[in-house]
Amino acid sequence: MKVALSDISGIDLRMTNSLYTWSNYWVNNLFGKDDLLTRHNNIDEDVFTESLEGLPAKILPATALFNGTDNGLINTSGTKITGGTPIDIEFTFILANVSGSDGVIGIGGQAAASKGITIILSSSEVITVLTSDGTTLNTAEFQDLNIADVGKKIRCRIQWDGITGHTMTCDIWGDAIEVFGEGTFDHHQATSTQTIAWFGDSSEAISIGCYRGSIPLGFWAGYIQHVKVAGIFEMYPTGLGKYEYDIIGGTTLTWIGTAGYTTFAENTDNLYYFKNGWKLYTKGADKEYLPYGASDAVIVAAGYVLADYGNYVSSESVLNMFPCLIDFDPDDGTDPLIDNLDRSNVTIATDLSRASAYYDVLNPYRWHINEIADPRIYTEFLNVGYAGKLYSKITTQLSGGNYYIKSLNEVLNFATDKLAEDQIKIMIYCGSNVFAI
Amino acid sequence: MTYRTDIFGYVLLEGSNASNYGVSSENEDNYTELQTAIDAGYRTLVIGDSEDEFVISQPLVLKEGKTYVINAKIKIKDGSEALLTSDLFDDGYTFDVDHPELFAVGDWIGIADDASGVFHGRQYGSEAKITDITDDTVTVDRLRDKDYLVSENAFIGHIQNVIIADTVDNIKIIGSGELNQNKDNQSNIYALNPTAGESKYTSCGISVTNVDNFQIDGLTSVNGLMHNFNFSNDITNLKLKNLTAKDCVDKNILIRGAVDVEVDNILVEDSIYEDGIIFYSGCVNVTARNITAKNNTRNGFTWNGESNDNLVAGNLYLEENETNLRIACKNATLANVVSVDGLVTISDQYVCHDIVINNLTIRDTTGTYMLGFRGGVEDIVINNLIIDGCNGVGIHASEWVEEGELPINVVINGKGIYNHTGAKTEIAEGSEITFNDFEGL
Repeated sequence: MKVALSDISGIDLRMTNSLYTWSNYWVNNLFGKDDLLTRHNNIDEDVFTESLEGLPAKILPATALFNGTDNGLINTSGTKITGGTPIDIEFTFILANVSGSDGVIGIGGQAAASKGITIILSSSEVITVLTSDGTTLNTAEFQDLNIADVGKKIRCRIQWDGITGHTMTCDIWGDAIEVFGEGTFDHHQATSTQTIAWFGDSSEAISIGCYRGSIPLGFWAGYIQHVKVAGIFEMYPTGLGKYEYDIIGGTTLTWIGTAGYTTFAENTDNLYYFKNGWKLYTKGADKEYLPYGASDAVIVAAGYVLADYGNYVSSESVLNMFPCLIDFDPDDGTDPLIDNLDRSNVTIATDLSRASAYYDVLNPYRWHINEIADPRIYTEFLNVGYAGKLYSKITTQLSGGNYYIKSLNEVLNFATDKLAEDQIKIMIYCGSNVFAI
Repeated sequence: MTYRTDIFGYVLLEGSNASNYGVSSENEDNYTELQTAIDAGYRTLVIGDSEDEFVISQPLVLKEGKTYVINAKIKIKDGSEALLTSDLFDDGYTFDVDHPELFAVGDWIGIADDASGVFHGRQYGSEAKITDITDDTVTVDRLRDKDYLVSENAFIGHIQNVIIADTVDNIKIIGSGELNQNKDNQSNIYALNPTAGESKYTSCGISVTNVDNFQIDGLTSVNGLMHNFNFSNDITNLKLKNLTAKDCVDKNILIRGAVDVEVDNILVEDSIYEDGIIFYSGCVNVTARNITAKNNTRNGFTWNGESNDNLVAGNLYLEENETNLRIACKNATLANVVSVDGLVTISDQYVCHDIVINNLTIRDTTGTYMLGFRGGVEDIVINNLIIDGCNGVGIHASEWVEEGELPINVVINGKGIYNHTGAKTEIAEGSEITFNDFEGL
């Protein structure tokens, strides 16, 4: 038997399998589980479910944040738009205001001489589609967004066969969207026949969150969570790096303007990265987060390389470490059972925890996934007397002599502080004992 | 399933790494980066790998409640000296020097002159910390009660600790790292702290004062300008394990004023002027085992001081120290002591009674005596004494000072004296030395 009895005492392990060790035993058996207060151990869309007390956590993925002033996404990768063909454009956003002339997507079309199509939220508070054949600018106006819609997540789909005079439709989905003069809907379709034939122009750069004349203008404020131009490109912007990536082709858009392109917010669109996997590329300290199937041609040319540990596989049941916050008290119930996760509690949490860039005094139960998954961090965020109460079950990958966390599977919250031998048993179950020295 | 724990019992993780703060062997000076890392909130700080060597320009000051994993070599930078160009009187703290640019605020310096006298081959001086520097002047925070005059070639020079831990509790230092006090490139000043003598700060590898619950496991300290390891003044719960200390000027390990001390697996060697390991007054409830002391110019293992009380020690290997084992205190039980080429002295230099040594072997020694009972030592028992292959007086008993007291109730039980050259005993009249079943006399 390959058991070092000096390693663990007081436990009678009776077995005949000569390959079985104490470490093997604790891999599959959680020590002290009767002492658990809460156990978050499954993923259901953007909910981290809790199996003991029904206290689920909320997952807030990294989400692109447009500042409304000077930043947006511009394509420099040469994707061409073919005119005279049907268009089918979908986009999802959270409405920040109803008074701007904010660009959702621009592919030319913003002026008579500029071939292409541009979609904006116009200053007249309607979703407006501008098209041009290079000679004539045409304006089709649709849904009148209402002040009551501010803050709501809205999805639009613009469809048109590209033929002059034929109907262009604008479908809009949202939670109780207000349609001026018509009432409240979860789905509404508006139409327009204010159309002329249109032509694409490969010299017109694709832009998101703004549109372009000779310079970018019409900057969007808030979130644009998903953009799809059927047959051309589709992306879920995150704001995490310098670029955003197409999941169906090679289009790579570049962030322009003042940095600070990301935040963490409810965004079920960006669950895409959890469900489909992602890749981490690095160039020195710079990092790029690519959807799993995205082309890396642009960033490889810019000197980025796929990290040795950089493939983060898809999962519906565990979190694959795509950047996100986890809010352990999404309904602000402040249940005492989750006190150990309250970073504002000075008895429990260290000043270091509150010094984190991810600490939110208004939402003190929120943890960045890298904080709650990494025992080298979360143990330091808890005072003596508590540092042995919190654990995360993870998977890791060894690369270059270092272990990298590849998934967060469970968060375990104990009533009593675990030390030494008890602690290492739990860490073996959690897969975090690789960080013990 | 191996693991180590921090001072609080938590499994020790990789923790925060000093490299995250810019610490690198490639830096000319790592003081700022390392101190920033120490000041950060992490309970564990990993400092370097075994191939790293970090030079620091000023001592690192430890923060309490932390575990430091030191696997790198940490070396204090080469020191500089400058001549005073104005006299410094005992009530002053600011003086002119010819090269203030060689110093920085926060540097620890000694100040001395030709009138200071010489001790241990160096100019006697006073220790201080620089608090201000101008184009011409240096200001320090303290000085000893003495004038330093230009006419006496007064000068200042660097004499810096590598690490200071003062009034900080709950600290654990582990790892295979090495502290290098770089004595050969420091100023040639034997500087004492004006208020605490040699026991506070004062150019050591690590100077630890006023702490509770302090542990070191695995560290090496070399080239101490004063001591290598200095633990002094109001220390409780001190645990030292797997330490190596060598090549210092004064004491390789000084423990003073410490209660509840555990020392295990220690190598102390090559002190130029003084001792290997010394428990020097105020040490109470001490356990010391597996100690090797070699080639220290004065004492190897010393249990010294009137206020020392209750020592349990075992497995001591003491070789080529002038006095391998010196006991001058009360209530000590030692076992399995091997003394090679060095004296064993039990004296009343301070106080000495109730001492038991089980299995004491003294061999291959030439000296005035092999085992000496000096002065009014009392109630001493040695079980199984072997003196083998020595040259000189085997067992000596006398007064410590002229017309002083003599040893009484000293009992030696078992074994004997073998292969001896010279007198086997030299017992002053009036001494009470009893031999039971002791061969070779």
